[in-house]
Amino acid sequence: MNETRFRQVIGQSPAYWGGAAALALLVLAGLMAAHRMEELGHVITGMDNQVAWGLPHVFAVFLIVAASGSLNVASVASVFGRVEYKPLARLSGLLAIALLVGGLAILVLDLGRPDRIGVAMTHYNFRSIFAWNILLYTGFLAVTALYLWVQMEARLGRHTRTVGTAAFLWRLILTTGTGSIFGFLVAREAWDAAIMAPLFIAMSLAFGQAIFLLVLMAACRWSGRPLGDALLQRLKNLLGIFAAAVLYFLLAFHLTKLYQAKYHAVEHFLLAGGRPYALLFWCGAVFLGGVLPLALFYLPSLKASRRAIVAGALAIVAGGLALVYVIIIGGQAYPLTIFPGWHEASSFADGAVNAYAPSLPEWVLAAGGSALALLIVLLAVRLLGFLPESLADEPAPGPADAGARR
Amino acid sequence: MRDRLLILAGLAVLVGLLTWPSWRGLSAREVASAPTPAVRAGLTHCIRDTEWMRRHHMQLLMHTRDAVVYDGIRDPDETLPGCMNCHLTRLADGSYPTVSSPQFFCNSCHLYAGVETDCFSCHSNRPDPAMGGTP
Amino acid sequence: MTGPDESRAADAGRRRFLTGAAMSTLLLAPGVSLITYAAGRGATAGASSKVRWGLLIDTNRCTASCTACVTACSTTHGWKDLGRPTDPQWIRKVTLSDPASGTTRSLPVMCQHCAEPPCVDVCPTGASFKRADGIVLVNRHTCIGCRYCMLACPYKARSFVHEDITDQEPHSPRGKGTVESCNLCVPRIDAGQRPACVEACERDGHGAMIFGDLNDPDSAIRRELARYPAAPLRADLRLDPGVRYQGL
Repeated sequence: MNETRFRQVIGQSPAYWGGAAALALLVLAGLMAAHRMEELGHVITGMDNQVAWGLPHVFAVFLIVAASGSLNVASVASVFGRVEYKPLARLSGLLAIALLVGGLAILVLDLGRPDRIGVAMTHYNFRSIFAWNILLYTGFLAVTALYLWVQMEARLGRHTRTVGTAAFLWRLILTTGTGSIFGFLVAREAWDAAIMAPLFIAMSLAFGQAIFLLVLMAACRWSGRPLGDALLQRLKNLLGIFAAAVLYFLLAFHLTKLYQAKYHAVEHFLLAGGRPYALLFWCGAVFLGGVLPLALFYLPSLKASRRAIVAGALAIVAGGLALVYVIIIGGQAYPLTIFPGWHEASSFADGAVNAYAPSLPEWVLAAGGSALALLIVLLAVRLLGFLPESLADEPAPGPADAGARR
Repeated sequence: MRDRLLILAGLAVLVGLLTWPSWRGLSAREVASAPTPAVRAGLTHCIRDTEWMRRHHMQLLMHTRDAVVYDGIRDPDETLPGCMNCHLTRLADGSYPTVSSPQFFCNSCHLYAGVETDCFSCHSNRPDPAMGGTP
Repeated sequence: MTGPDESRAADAGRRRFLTGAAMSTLLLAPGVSLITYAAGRGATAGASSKVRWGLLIDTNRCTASCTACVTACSTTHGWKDLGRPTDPQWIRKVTLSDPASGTTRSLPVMCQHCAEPPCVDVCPTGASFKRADGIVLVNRHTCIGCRYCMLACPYKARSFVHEDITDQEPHSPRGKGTVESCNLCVPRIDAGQRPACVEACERDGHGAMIFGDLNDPDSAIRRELARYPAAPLRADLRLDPGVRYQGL
């Protein structure tokens, strides 16, 4: 097997610089939105005392979950020994870091007291899964950076498997922790379930792989580097399995809750209550996030179509955002049951469904964080060799080559 | 050097951001000499020496703060409202200075030293009658 | 490459440096702790775990139209509910109606001061904590405003401060970007008084709220609990709140 050659992507075209400038402007706008929020307070956002976590958290959780999953291709190469994915491992690691940085930026800038990030880094309550997540996220950045280093430094290549395994296990713990942020909470009927941890693992695999596929296809196309059909098919098939896994965990999650009388009301609210959560769930999470991509990926008539792959991956991203929105916002919109069996009414929205509409600062902050992730990728591929010169399919080895394969 | 423009621009932005506190206050008014904070008439001494207070008041406040919040140990002299009871002086119109005005006790030194205080985003600018202050 | 004499001299120099650095650190370190803080003359004794503060609310005596407890709390602590969804609410009156029979009940809901508070478990910095005497508080100095505790509380007791505050009550510091909730009037309790809501209820002649030490068998609250059954809200969650309700 030929040694893969990696080369920087030195973008020179107006499109490259225009794209970088546009992303940088979005990042700047996001910073300004965060500054306004810190200056004037969260009263300028749509978040309130009923729905405390809003659109910024939806995007932050989506990006963080996708970050963990986008390292999957590298894990499959290093940990599970699938050499055909090895050339993709560096881009996979870079994307994981970029998405995580983007997600964390949104999360930190949305804090009520972002100036106290120093307090957050030095005061830990180890009973809090949130505190564990802070450590897991920063540690993940370090482990993935180390992983990239041992892959890119020729003399350290023998450590790739060890560090890759560490990164893989770290990912699983991190994503379990992210799902448990909601799964551990006994107060909210839409959450409070152990299955949220594996659901988030499946979501991470689907969202991460989808974004990875999109970034890979865009990078190869715009830098004029060949991308083989066989490799693309493998990645596509993997993505299809992950999308199906998300559907499976959603099914198990909701079926269990539907079986129990005490959850009938909240399930009706989420799945059949109309706007916007039921709509987002069925049209977004289930159709866009699962059914449509599976059709696009596996229908025989679309087998050779790259457009179908792109469309399917985009649908998974859209469906994923919709799913995270339903989980986080829907879970808060449904009223708390403080007095089971009674109708509740008060001046603090007891017993009432809580309305939420994202405000402009929230949209801009969310867009800024997403743009930051993409900008990091755009600039990083310029600095170091993350992208192979060619990902064209190799011709099938003849009988004489079998012994020479490493 | 490749990408010279990009690298230099990025460096300029970084240096500008890192040194922002230094040139942010350039337009502020000059202060001629070291400040002499005003104290309510008739008071002779603080709970500690002036020099000690100048150096260690933050440590005293932090220590008292933790004792009050976590353990409920309250000493009227040593809590922040207790300090305010002596150190707040009324303006000519009878009102108390706002927490951002130069007449506010803490600001008389902190504005000069350029050290921001976080206390008064939460703590009141008025004395606490419950702690022996006159409102 | 240095010769043997030079490297020996360099080693000696390094040794001197390290010894000097270690000695200076040893000399300085005790100096840091030499600033001792003797408690002032008027310091109170502080919270003790021998005491567990609790509230007992008799919903039979609570009328739907009365909001004395809410008004007393908001006046004492300086928070205002202007009807916006971002306004804080440390205590609120909840009206219940039974769908089957049409019976109604009215009662105040505030932080329940649980013995196993979910808000304390989830706080990443430990700002949400339980004091030795059972009062659940937010240390606003350490709160980073992440609002996770607001998601975790089964009683929706917590509010977030969404905008700048300038007219705080001197004994009730509150500021933008931190989370707050009923603190059982902790400055008043430490001064031997009762919470403002309890006092207001009694002053208005309803007497629906009793405050006291749950660990003291002779306290009014314990004697009343012995007379009629009282249950916490969402008893199934086993949070062991310090607030109990009769008549539900």
